[in-house]
Amino acid sequence: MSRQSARRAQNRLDHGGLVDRTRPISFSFDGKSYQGFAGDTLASALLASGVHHVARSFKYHRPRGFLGAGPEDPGALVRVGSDPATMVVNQRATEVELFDGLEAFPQNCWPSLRLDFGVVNDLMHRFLPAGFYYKTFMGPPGSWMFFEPFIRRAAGLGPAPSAPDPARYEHMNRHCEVLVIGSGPAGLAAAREAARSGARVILAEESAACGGRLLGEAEGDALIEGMAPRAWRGDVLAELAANPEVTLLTRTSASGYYSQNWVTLFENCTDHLPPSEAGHLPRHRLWRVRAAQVVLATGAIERPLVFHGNDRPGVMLASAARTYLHRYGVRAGSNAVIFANNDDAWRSAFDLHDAGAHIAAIIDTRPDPAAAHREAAEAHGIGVRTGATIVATQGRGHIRSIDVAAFDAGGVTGKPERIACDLLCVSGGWSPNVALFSQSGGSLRYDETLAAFVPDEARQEVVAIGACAGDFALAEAVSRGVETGRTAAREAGFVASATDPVAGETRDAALPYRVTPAWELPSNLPKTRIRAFVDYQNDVTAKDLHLAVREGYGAVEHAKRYTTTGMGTDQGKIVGVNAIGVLSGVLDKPIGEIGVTTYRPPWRPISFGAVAGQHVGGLFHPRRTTAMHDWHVENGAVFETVGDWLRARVYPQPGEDFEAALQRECRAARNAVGVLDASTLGKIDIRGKDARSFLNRIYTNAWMKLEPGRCRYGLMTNEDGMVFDDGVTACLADDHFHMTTTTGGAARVLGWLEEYHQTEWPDLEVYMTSVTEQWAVASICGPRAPELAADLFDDIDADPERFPFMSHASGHIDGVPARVFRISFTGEVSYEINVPASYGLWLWRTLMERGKPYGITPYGTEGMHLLRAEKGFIIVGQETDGTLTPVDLGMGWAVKQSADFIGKRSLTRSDTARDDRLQLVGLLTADPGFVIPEGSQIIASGREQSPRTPMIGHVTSSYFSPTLERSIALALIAGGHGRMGERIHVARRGADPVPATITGTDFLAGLKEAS
Amino acid sequence: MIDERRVSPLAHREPLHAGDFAHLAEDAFRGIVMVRAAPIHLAAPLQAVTGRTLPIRAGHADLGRRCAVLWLGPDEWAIMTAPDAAAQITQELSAELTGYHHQIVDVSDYNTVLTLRGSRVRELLAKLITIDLHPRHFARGTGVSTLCGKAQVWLVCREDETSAREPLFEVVVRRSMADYLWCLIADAGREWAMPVQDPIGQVPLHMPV
Repeated sequence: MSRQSARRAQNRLDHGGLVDRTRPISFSFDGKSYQGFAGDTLASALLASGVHHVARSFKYHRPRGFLGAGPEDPGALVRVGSDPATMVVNQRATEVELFDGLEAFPQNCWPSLRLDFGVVNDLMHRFLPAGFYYKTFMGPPGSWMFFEPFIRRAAGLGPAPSAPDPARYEHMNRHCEVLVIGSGPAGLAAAREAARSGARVILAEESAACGGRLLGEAEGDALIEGMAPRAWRGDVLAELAANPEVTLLTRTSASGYYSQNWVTLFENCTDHLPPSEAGHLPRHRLWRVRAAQVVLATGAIERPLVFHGNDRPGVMLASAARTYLHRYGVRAGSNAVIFANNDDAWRSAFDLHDAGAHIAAIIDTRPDPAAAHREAAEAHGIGVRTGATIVATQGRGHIRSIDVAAFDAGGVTGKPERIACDLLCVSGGWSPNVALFSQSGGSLRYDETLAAFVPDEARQEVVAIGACAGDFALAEAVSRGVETGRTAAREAGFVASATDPVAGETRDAALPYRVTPAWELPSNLPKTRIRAFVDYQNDVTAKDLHLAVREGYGAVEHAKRYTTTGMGTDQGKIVGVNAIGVLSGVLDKPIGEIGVTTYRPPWRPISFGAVAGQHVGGLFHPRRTTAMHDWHVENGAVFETVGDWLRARVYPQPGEDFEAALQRECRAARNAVGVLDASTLGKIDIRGKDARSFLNRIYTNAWMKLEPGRCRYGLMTNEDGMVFDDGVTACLADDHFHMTTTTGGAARVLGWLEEYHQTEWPDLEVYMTSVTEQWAVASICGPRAPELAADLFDDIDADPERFPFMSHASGHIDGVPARVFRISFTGEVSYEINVPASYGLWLWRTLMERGKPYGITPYGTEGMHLLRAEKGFIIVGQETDGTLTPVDLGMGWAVKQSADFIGKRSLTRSDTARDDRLQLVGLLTADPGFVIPEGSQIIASGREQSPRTPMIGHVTSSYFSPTLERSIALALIAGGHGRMGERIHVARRGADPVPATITGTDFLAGLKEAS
Repeated sequence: MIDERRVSPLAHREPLHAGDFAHLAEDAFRGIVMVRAAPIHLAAPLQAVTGRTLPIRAGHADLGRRCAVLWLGPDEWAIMTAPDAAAQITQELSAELTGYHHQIVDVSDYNTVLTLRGSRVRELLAKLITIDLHPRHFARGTGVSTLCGKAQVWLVCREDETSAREPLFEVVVRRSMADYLWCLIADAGREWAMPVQDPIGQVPLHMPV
């Protein structure tokens, strides 16, 4: 080890902590190389090298260091990695685990961490008050327009990655009897007891190692069940690991608690590994756990104190200083001041002292700290100031000294005294981590003794234990854990056999927890100059909260949003209760009456990748393929999606563009034989003695007289009388029908039929079953189709005279069973050939081969659309939009008068009977070469003057027809059925309207008349 | 003998292996018959034709070697059988049910069967399926209709004739979604080094503008 790096690790102790000193790890931060050990976080390794200043705050760009040692830290956000695809921003240095080659960078600063021009915001802070952003909306006209670009540029912290994320992510769905969240002494005890019953237990630990505060505190003479705490932890973990029904998850945080005890766990699988060691694991996993019982052992979070200058690097939570010491073997400073309002924080002074640090002072805001502590301080030779506060701090990139003075309710009373230090450990007391309990719907209660909110009434099967429940003493935490683990398992139906070993003594090394809150501490400075930070990430000061109250945003939820308190990536983990405390002081109301802001998921930021899981890219959504798909691909088809289906749109040949291919395919269908893959149409087998009556109620037209062997086109309307699906249904036998639906409507129609049968007409004897994919369908059409069909069928007479339009037959093609329907969507003679789907590809290849002499040409959905438009057939979803009745579509002939059907009454409402409704008509442009863009608006004349020209309709389908050798269009026009022959105009953007004439919809009929 | 002209939905895929952890294959051309009838009418004919007992509770199945019956609804069952047996079962059962309201539909071509074997199959499936797959809740002899990823499937857990330790899982899926599901399951097996599979549906689209 070089002399330089040895000097850098100046704050590393020779022993202690979970780091492995035999495994040094090289990493870099801000372009400089450092060394840490396996088991370090980026924060502990940097602290070991004496680095405190690692980040800049959001608004004022003030230097930020490590306030915490885990997920609660608000300020030490860094970027990890530099690859544009894999870099991650806004990572908490206190959680980033070291691996060899880790590169981390500061963010939200320019040009560098130490010299950041954004600091100008800090100098201007008096002009950037709370709610500045909102004030620009209300300020002089144009304020927002002026400030928006600046605010947008300032928004966010690190930059977003600029290349696609190559990582894999997964979901994991799990059910368990007992989910324990948090692995401190309470959580471990609960998990062990629950697991002994045989119940399935999941134990989720947010950090890399189980143990919670057991890892962050000196063991002293503490005992758990007669054992030293870390040895006890080892035993429990070994027992859990050996139990196959226990899932032990580290680096896994419960991110959300939803209804019916559904909890999401966010697992980091590989972020802590160098890429070479990640193997095939996903980067993150989102566990979706349904738990019969949830045990929350999420611990407590220490609060800082709110005083002037409380945000410098080197200011650290007292508990974090102990965590760095005991978990990572790092002494965060060599000359420390402890500043607290409770007895617990005094431990930091003694522990740091024992680790060789000088303790410059212990400052307690209370006049009456525990006598035992005072004696110990005296014994250690540590100076103590009670009833005192810090009124100011000094040091730009790192704390250098503090000014301490006595105070009372009226303010600072004594003359400030300056004390030099390089570490200031602060503690404003502990807040139980109630985020998940609150997310679960449970209510919170303010506990005056603890000066914190604690879980009150649960709304789900959830119990909070340990520090999360306000039980800060070790013995209570463990005994509640044991009891709760057993109860939870029992509630889920699992009871342990009574052979558990007798537990030994459990006792705490620490004094009982005592706190006297001091929410906002005074300074000798003028009020306008006091900058006491409440939210360290979003730069909210106590003064901002005062302003919010003055401006009418005193309600806690308003104050939060107006000042952005707790709205950073830390979601206010250390902020919440302090902000409420300050508000309580300003409003002069008890804290319990102020209440808390709502805790919402996620508890911590989780990756979008984890939310999406595997369902991205090619696996985002099923793309359904037909049996003929391979042929379409091999023959150059271009595809579109229809519903979830992939359908061939056209088959361009080499050198051919889309339009040329389309025209060729359509000409072939009119002049020779076209073939369409129609497999995707919905098909439903309907059977029962009442099947016919059922159809008669579902369809708008009449079905009682359709004979076996015949087919009929039908329209379905919903209760409002609006067309929602159509298709041809064949009568196979008197009690047996084969229904077809639109491709996209197949599932909806089956659901519709089942719903009506089950809820409205359960008396009808009818069953329906989807057969959509049982059949592969090739539809051949065109003047030479009968010849091809005759060639093809073994035992069906293909002659259109004897096998007439709208009939069907069953038979064989080369011995393969086939159902053939003589139905047409093009106006040409057609045969819709259905074979069992596994023969689909064979059928298609057979057709292409046998059809060659007849000029067979495959056509895609675009050709199908064009051919049917020439004939004036509607496509549900193209011509219709859920607001059209059969009459509007010119299909009044399909509406029976004789019997009732769904939607019938709606067709006689005054609105549906209006004669100026939008009605389907044909359009022929004056210029036969001009194809109107689909969706164009229709206006009455070419010279509309009014700035709000009335739109009288719109174009639904438009093509250049190869058959008519001119353009054609279908359109919906107000009162269109009564306006045949009228001239209208089609509006165009940036060009003159185009004249067109209203015609009938069957353009081929017009052709026949003309010829 | 399977007619050579038939092509199964996953004919373009080869079985996949991920150590002993998971094996994925297609069990093509299985006979599958949907039956709808009142249980009181169906129980005896089913026994007579297939030798199976009609399951009448959700999630229950009677899985025989040659023939399996899955409960899908209070009046809806699926019979899974050998490739050549569907037509005969359809015919015989129809004859037995003459006079009773019923519907029997051969859907062998509608679906295909994916088989999963190996020590980590429950874990693999849990990445895609939300129901409880723990052996206490999803033991041999269980069959359900559920979602696997975004595909609707029937999931069956049964005795594996090739392994005493691990059961065999069958995933029945509609043919149009079989390739999607195959690739999704392979992706879920990446953790155990199952090879990457690219879905055939990933063709470029030419959507209307």
